[in-house]
Amino acid sequence: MNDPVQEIRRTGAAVVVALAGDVTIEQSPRLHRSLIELCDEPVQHLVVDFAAVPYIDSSGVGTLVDIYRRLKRTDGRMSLVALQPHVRSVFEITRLDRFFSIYSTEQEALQP
Amino acid sequence: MGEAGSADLLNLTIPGELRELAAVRRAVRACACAFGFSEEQAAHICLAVDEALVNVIMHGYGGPTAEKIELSIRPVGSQGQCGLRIRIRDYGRRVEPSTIKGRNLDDVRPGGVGVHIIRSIMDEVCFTQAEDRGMILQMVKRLPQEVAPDPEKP
Repeated sequence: MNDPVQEIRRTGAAVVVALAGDVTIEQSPRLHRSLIELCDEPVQHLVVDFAAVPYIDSSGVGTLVDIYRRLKRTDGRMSLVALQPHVRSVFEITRLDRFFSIYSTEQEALQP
Repeated sequence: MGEAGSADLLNLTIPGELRELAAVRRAVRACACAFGFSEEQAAHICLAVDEALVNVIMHGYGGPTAEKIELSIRPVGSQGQCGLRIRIRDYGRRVEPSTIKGRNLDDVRPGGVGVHIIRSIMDEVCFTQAEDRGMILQMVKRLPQEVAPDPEKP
């Protein structure tokens, strides 16, 4: 199964993870493992770039919720950037847009 | 995949395998767009169907399986009220329909939001137990009135 994680970059205290392709129940277990490994070392700010993600389902959203909860335990935070309209609407339908910091661009998310 | 029935716009029979879902999503999306839904509405309908099929595979069948799932889509209603009726029939575990509920979204945790998504997107959602085994899910999504096809127009 393709790993939706296409790129991981460190920018100061932030880690930017760029995803690509659909994030569904087929890809979510792999994504979960990749993000858990990333968070083995404390991450202050995890920025997830959705620019290349056209579709997400509830398992993809659930994966991000789990990582969000793990980060919160270590005082880390999580931002979602460049969500395509359909992907954003899934966060709205599930009312998770209340919990995630959502930005149009990576630059906005990285502003102090 | 099965053959289309006379009134069905789409009629598929698939094994309960997660790898089948991408093709189903494409087919449902194309069907909804061809019927007159916008790209965004079609993507939502596609998500509702996707969540329903994942629930069947993971909960009805207890995991991926060669057991079949039947999916059909047909037009329903009349001018101003028309839409698509989507029927999903499985042969897995029977569940009391009143127990199929989305969970409280104030509790931020992974999982359990599929039914909430389905109910949020679709205008009508009805789970029933099939007579012998399995469940039948019928969902209706109506076209917004401004884009409903006008039967007077050629």
